[in-house]
Amino acid sequence: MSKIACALFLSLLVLPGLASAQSDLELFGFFQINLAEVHSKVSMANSAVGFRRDLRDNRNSFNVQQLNLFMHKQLNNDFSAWINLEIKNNYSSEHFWGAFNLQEAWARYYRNTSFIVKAGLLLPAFNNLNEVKNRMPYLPYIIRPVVYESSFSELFDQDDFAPSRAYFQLYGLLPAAVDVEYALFVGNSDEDFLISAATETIQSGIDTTGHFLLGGRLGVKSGGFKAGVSSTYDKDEQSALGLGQVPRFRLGGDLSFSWRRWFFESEIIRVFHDEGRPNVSIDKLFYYGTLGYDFSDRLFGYVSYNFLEDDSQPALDDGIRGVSVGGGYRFLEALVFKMQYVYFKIAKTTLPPTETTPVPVDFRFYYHTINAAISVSF
Amino acid sequence: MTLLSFILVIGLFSETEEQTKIAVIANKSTPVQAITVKEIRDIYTLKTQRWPNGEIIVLFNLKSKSALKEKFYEVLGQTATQLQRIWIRFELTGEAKAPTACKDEDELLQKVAATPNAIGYISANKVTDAVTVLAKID
Repeated sequence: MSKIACALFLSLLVLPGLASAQSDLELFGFFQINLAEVHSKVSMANSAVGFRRDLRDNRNSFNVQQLNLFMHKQLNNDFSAWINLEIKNNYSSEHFWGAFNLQEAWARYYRNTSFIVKAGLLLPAFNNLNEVKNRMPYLPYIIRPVVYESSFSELFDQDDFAPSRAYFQLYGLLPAAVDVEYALFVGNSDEDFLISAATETIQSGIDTTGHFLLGGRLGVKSGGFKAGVSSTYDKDEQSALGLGQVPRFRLGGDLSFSWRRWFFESEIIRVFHDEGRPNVSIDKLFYYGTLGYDFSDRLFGYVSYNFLEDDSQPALDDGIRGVSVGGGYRFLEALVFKMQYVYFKIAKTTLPPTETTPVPVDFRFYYHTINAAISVSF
Repeated sequence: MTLLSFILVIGLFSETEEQTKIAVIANKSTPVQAITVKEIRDIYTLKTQRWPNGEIIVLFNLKSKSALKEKFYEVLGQTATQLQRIWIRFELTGEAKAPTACKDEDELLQKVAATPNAIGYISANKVTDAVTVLAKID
């Protein structure tokens, strides 16, 4: 990890030289600094045996939530290259904070509006938000809809809901009475199949299965209106549950529009598995909707509702619900101030006995946070 | 005297008319000589990114708020924030470049005249021979 980070750092040091030698290499990016006041509470109780345990977490913290560096080069009229490096959560290899990721590295062939090909590491066109989930200056949010919010990655595997990587994508607009958007992509199976430690015979970071991710999106677009359906098929790693490689089918729908000063976006994702066993379900459901209003060219506000249900996790099989209210002010096109209040709740649900809690317990979870952030493009 | 006044008044009216018209201008190298309002919309919303000869369209915009800019956005059928969202999304995903903002119409005229495959808009009365006028919009 430190070798990779070092190599990337050194490559960034020599970039200014490259840029001056090749004037068409564009280097730009953004960062978002966040101040968060977080209050959360987990309650577990079994009144029959007199068991009760409350865990509270109250904290506030400044955080360089995300910094992305983009490199773009138009190789000629038809071909271009793109690199996206993402640094998260006060990244420091010295202190083992945060993460430094290669998010995208692709070459693009643009034949015409209807036929565009990307080859390399890319964010696939699944629903509306997946491709732009980490473009903070574009998004009104500080805390994104829950399956796209990287700071919730410890709660559940976000890649289970929306595919985070693909390696080849054909896409474009088909001319009709309204524009028809299409995308077809292929990638690796579930990220859990990718090995993280190199052995004598296998390199790290590669898919260890013979399966691919296959997916696509079909949508329509007219003026400010956009809607589509997306799907993927791949294999999910569920060895921990004794299910092995489970066929997985994701189905998504998205609807968004802007009308006068109003903007609206929504998505639904349903994840189906063929578990191969009766009475076992690891299916998932997520949906969100955001309604916003531009009070002026600079000032905006929105409300958003999230719901997520994950049958593979007892705490989430009745769902987690979230509401957020936010807004922002664009001081400059390149500098946006944002604020957001987020409230998530898992209503009472019963967890089965475990090694640490040998009796069933009633589980409740509350999480609310107030955030202020500055998003700066450069 | 009456005839002279008439000519002056007509001249003033013509001048005012040209001032309020938007001229969509392009670099002399562009392969098109005329363009429709729908094509202008498609270009400025980045749906169309290439000229018919395959060259990449280079877009210019005005930086500051002005009556001309607001009128042009009305022609595009978009608010400033809607356009900004479209441009940011395309730029941050590597799909296209957002328009380059110029401080005023004179700078925009110079940039379009000097940049191959460029397109922009200015008041019709500011047009010079250095650029091709693709459309004039009332």
